[in-house]
Amino acid sequence: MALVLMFFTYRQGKHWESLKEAKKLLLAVLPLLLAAFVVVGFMDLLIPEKVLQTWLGAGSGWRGLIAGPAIGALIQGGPYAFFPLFDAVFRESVTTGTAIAMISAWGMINVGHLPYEFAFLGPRFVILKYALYLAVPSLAGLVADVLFG
Amino acid sequence: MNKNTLGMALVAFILVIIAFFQGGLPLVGQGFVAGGKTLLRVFPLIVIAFIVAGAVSMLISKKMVTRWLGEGAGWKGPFLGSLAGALVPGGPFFFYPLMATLIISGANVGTMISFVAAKTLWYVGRVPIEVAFVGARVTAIRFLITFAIPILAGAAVNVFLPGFAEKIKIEVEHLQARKGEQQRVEGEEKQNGGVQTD
Repeated sequence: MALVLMFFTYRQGKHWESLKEAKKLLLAVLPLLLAAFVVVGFMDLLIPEKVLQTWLGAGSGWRGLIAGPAIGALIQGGPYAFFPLFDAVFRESVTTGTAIAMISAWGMINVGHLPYEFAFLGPRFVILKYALYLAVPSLAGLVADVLFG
Repeated sequence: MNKNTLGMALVAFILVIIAFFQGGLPLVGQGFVAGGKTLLRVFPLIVIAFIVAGAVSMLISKKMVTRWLGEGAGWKGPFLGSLAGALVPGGPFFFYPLMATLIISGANVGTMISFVAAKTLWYVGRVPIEVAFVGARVTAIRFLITFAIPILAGAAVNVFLPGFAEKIKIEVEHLQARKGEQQRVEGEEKQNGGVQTD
């Protein structure tokens, strides 16, 4: 994917600019990245495996499809914090469906987006968005568990 | 340093303290080693993810998106909205203001409902890092299952809720007008302040 995109930028003569942009973006998030990985290391050590299994593991059933997205919606810090955390803490314990529900909820119904949504798009938009999308992560997880579980 | 980094550093600090009280310095050391190992393992993929993000931001411009989404009713709007959402880089501090601008320049609310779902579900710049940490299989299943959702939801809004969508549009215009007003007042206050000190 990176190669294909680089090819497109090369054809537009923007490949150096694009790599510079990449470097700029990377340097901008590097402090966050370092802090995130410290968090990841410690979360992995400190959260008891049993608690994760009960709430999110294969035996958790519907609980995982509710608790998973609820946790996902609360996690802040963008993809470079969320995905490493998911890998270290949840990946081993959760079912495919719970993983999909959690990741979808982190993106779609993240509580950290609410201030922006209210400020720029207003309460009616927020109501409409949540009415449409609140159940989507859990449903997507359910479908995933039924089809691919 | 931004708020996210500070928040994360704070969480890291609290976890280090907890680890210290649970297992002393050895456990603290173990935590840092575990974090460092994960970072080293995925660093190449992170670099790739940033190359993708950099290339996407070079290839997609705000002007292009505005041109795509300016108008378009029925299915076309939600379809293009979803496509744009999947491609437009940037965090919530960038794309929510962009959405407000797009609505004011004529984009349908349904199109924006598609855009925001695609942006948060399918954004391509995120795919390398998702594959790295979650695995290709789960990522593929997630894309497959949620694929139709942004387009369907946006089209449903355009078809079934045109009245509510119109109200949202008016609300967004009010919010933007108020922001413009605030900026104007602040600017004037600054000017007046300058005059008074003379």
